[in-house]
Amino acid sequence: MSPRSTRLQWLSLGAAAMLTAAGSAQAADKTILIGMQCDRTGPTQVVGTKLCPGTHDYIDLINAQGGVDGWKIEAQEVDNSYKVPPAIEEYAQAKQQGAVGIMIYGTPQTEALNQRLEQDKIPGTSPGFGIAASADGKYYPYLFPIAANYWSQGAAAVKFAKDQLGGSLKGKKIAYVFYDNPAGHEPLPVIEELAKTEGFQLQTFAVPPPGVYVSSQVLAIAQQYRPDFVIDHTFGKSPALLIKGFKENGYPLNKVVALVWASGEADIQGAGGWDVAQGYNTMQFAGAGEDYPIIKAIQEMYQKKGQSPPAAMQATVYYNRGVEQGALWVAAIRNALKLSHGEKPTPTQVKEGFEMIHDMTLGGLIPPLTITAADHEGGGWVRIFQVKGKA
Amino acid sequence: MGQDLPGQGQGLTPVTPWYRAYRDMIVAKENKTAAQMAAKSN
Repeated sequence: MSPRSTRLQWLSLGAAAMLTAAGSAQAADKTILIGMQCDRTGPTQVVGTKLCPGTHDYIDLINAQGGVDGWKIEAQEVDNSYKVPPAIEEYAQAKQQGAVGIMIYGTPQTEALNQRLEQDKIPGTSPGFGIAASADGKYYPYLFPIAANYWSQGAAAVKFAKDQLGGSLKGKKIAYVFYDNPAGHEPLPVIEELAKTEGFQLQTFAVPPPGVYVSSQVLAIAQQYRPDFVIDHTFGKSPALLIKGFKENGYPLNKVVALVWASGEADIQGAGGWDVAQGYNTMQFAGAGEDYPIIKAIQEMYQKKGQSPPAAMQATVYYNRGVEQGALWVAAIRNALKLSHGEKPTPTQVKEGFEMIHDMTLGGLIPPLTITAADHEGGGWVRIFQVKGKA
Repeated sequence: MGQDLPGQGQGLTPVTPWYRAYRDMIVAKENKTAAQMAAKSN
């Protein structure tokens, strides 16, 4: 797949008339537009450059098969560089263009957009990030985490540590190292509550953005605090630096569990590769690897076009999550088209379409996902994958 | 937990099934927090 950065150019054109005309053309040619935000240039580009191609590829696959009930899906990507102001501007543009919803990118951006989504009655998704409480669809009707939120991830990390330490955390020491922004803070209330109920000592270590200096945190954890387990909730460049730092300071990586944005192949490669990261535990809300029917179908799509699959596909963790994101939007639109009797669905019908997703597994790529009006998270499932052997 | 499941991926091996933890506590917290935030904004 070619980079979609050229799609940014429409923002600079800035002509409302053109946007209106584009919207009319979409209606005429039966295209359903989704606004899609990504970070390919900012501090989390290590994720965005892998995840976003996965979303496009899934949607391209569906379109190549004739679309959804004859409707083509277009995810119009813009780069927010993990910054809030462009995210707000890009949302407004997508709304003006008639998008039926928006794929949000980033927790600060989710917090900034949530109220607008509700006011405009436009659904937005924040897979594996964003506002944990938005799992409750009653109070967050238009925001959909659609994957384990930060509270579910934090709880699952504590459970994993407990199991690894013999079934009890009483008297144990756990270090929580986190990216010091709203996303990094989000799991803390749950982990702090579990520290009380499970009886473990918790110490937190903040990594200031943009997360490129972690040596003091590594030394404080590995040399001074010496915890029984580490929960790593960093992202961007930090996870690789932490893996490398723990390894160099003799802290065992099998006593580290990473939340979902510190869990990609790029993080491991950035640390120095598979040999360095042996034992490191990663948390996933979509499966890693290529051994899934939907990934094979995308590979075949490229083969039919005489093209090689994109390099991003080799970074299976983040790429597969992009595929999941695309698949859930397509499923919601498919459901919405039932509600609209084949007419172009409204954003509210797409919202209701999300709430009709039932027991979706994508051939094993994701856990059995059921989204309802009450549960916009889909159950909060995760799975731990450990670095073992070589790539 | 802990058993090797069929390997997939580039050196990433699943070591747990799909699972979730402390679900009752999480859902109660989600509902309570969401209600509190809604009350604040009204």
